[in-house]
Amino acid sequence: MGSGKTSLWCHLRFPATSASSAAPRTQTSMAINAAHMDEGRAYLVDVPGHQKFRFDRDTQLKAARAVVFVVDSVQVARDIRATAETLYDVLANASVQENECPVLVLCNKQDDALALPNIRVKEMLEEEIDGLRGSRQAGLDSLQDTADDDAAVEEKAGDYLGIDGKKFVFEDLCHPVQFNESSMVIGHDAGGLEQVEQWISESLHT
Amino acid sequence: MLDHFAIATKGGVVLWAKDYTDVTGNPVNALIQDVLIQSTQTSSTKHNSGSYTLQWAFANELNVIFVAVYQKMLQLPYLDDLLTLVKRHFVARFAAEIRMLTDGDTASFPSFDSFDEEFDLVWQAVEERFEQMSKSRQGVPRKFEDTRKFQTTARGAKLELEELAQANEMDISRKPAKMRSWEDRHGGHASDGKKGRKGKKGKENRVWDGKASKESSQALDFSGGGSESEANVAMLVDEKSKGVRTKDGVYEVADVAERSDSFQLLEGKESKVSTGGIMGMFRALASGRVLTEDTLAQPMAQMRSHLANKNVAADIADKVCQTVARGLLGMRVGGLQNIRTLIEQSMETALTRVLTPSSSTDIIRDIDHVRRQGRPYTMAFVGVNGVGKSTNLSKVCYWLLQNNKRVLIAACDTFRSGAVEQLRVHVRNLRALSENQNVEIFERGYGKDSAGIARDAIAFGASHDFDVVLIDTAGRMQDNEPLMRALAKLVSVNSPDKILFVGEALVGNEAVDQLQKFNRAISDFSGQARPRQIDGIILTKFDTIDDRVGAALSMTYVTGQPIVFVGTGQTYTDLRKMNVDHVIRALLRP
Repeated sequence: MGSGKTSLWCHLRFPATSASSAAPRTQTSMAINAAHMDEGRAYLVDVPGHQKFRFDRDTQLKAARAVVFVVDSVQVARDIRATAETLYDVLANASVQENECPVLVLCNKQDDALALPNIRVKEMLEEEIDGLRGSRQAGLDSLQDTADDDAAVEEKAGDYLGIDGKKFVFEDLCHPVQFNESSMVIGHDAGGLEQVEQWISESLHT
Repeated sequence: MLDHFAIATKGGVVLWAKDYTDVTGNPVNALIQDVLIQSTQTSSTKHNSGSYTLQWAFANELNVIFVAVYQKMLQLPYLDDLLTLVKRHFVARFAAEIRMLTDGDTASFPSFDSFDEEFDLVWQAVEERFEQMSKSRQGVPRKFEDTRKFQTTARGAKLELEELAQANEMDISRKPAKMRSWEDRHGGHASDGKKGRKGKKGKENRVWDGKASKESSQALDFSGGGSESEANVAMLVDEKSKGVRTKDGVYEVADVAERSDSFQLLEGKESKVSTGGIMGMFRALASGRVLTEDTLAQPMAQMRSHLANKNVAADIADKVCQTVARGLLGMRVGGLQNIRTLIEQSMETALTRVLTPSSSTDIIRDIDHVRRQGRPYTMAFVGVNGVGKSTNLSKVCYWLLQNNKRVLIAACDTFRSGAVEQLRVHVRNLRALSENQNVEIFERGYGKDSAGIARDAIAFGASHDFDVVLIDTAGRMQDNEPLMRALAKLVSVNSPDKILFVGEALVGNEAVDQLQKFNRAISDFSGQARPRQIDGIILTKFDTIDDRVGAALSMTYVTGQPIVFVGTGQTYTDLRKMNVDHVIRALLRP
C-alpha cells in the first residue's frame, strides 16, 4: 500500500501528460484500475495493495504475462515483513510459476533522500523470503473440498521458492526477476520510467 | 470550515481536490483503508479519524468517490446536501471524461480544473439555502402573551375568563336556545334523513327464529372449502426436489445435484421487461435499466433468506445485503446482463472481501519474530462453554510440536472439574506422539486465580526457554459479568500475543452476541487506555456442518479478524487453515 502503483499506472497510461507535468495526485485505491496502454501495446492492471484485495490479485495473476512489483524504498525497512510476504505470494503463485512470468521489482520513490538503493532492498527481501519459505512450509493444510492429498502436497511443493538447503537468492528462481529504481517525480535522474516501458515491451514480446 | 474536499476514482486517481488549509496526516487514505475497503459498512457516511471528521458519497455508476474533510469539533449539517449537489454537477459535467480514463484511448490525462468555480458556486448556494431555512424556522419570537405558559399564570387565567365572559355576553344577547320540537329536528330535514338512512343500512340483527333464508344458510355454511386446502398441500412439497421411487417401491431422497459454475441461485420470475412486445424488448436491451432500491428489493430479499438458510446470523445477512445493495445503487445494467448475475457477482466480491484476512495469519513467522525478542509467544484460548477450547488447544500444540517448537500448556481453567486432568492426558499423548518431548503442562490445581497462574506460566516458560505458551481458560457465558471481568484481568495482566476466540461452526445468531460481548468485556474491563481485542478466531466442529458455513461469515464480519484455524474433528491432526474459496462456494451454493 502506498508504494506508487496507481501513480505508475497513470504515468504509463497517459504518457503525454506525464511528459509535461507530474502525474495526477493519487490516494489509496479501493478498486482495480485496468486499461490499455497507449497504442494498445499492453493491458495494464493496477491492483490495490490492501490485504483485502489478495483474492483479486491472485485472480489477475492468472492472466498476467508480466508482473511489476512496486516497492516504497523509503518505507521498505519498516514494512519489510509485509512487503516480503506480498512478494512471496506473487512469486509463489501457481500461474506465475507455470508461465514463468518475468517480474520487475521497482524500488520507487528514489527522489526521497531516505530511499534505499535497490541492491539493499534486494538483500533485505532475500533475507525475509528465506525465513518465510520455512514458515510457509510449516503451515497447515487448508480446508479442501475433497480430501485430495496429492493436490495439497503439490501446492506445498510449489510454494517453496529457490533451492532447498541454500540461502534464497532471486537468481535461483526459474523466471527472471529484475530490480530497478524509479521515481514518479518529473525530472529526477533515476527517472526509470523509460526503463519500465522498455522492460514491458521486452517481456511481452518474448 | 471545510478543510479538504476531494473527488477521486475508486481506483485511487484524484480527479479534483481543494485544500482550504493544510491537512495533517492523510485522513482520506485512513478512511479508505479502515472503513471503505472493509465491507462492514454501516449506514452512516461519517467517520472520525484523528482530529478530523470525514463524510463521503459514492457515484457508483462511474466508480467515483466524493470525500469532505473537516474538523471534528465542527458540525456542518448542510454537508449532505453539498455532497449530493456536487455529485450531481460533477457527474453531469465530466461523465465522458471519467469514462475515458479506463475505456478510451487518450494519451493525456483530462483536466478537471474547470470545476473550481462550479464548486464554489454550489457551495455558496448550499450555504445560502441552509441559512434561509434556519431563519424561516426560527422566525420572530412569540410574545409572552401568546405562549401557553402565560395561560397558566394568574393574569393569563383572568384574561381568559374575561374573554369567556365576553363571548357569553354575545350569546346572552341572542335568544335562549329553544327546545326544538321533534318535527323540527327531523321534519325539516326529512329528505336528508331519508337519504342518509338509505345510504347506510347499518347493522341488521340476525334473526334466530328457526327459519333461515336460502342465502343466509349458504353464507353460514363453513364446511368444505376443499380448494383452499389443496393449495396449501402443494406448497408443502417442492415438486422439483422430490426423490425417486425405486423399483421396490422404496422412496429414495434425491441426490445433492451437481451445480455448474454459473450458479443460478436466485430463482424466480424473469425480471420484468416493459411489455411492449418486440419494440419493448429492444428498448430494454438498448437502454438498460438503472438499478434503484425497488428493483433491488426482491433479489436482495431472496439473497438474504438464502444466507439465513446457510446459518448466517440474521442481522449480519441483513447488513451484507445492504452493503451490496448500496454499492449497486445507480448502476446501469446492460440489457443483456441480468440483475441477478450482477448481484451474485457483487455478493461474491463482498463476501470474499469480508472473509479475506487483512493481516497475515502466519503463526510460525510471528513466533520466530517474537522469539528474537527473547520471550515466549503466548496464545490465549477463550470462548463459551463446550466449544472445544481444550481439544483445539491440543491440536495446535501438536502442530507446533511438528514444527519443533517447545510448548508449555498453562492450565488456567481452574473451575471445571477434570479440566486439568484433561490437559494432563493430552500432554501425555502428545509426548508419546512427538519424537522430542517438547511439551509440558503448567498447573496449579483448582480454585486459584487464573490470571496469576498465567503470569507464573509465562515466567516459567521464559526461564526454561519455551517457544510458545498456550493458555487454556475456562468456558464462560458472555453475559456472566464476574467471569468476563476475570478474563479481562487475565488479558490485561499477561497481554498475550494472540487472543483466539474459539467458536463452534454450529452456532447461529448467538455468534454475533458472543463475539460482541467478549470484545466489549475485554476492552471495557481492562482499564487500559488502548485495550486489546480478539485477534483471531478458531472455528471448531467444522465437520458437523457440511454446507451451512454461515457462522464463519458472521464471526469474521463482527470482529473483522480472520479465522486462523479450523477444527475438523477430534484427533490431533484435524486442524486446517481457512480456505476462503471453499467457504464462499459453500455459502453461495444453492
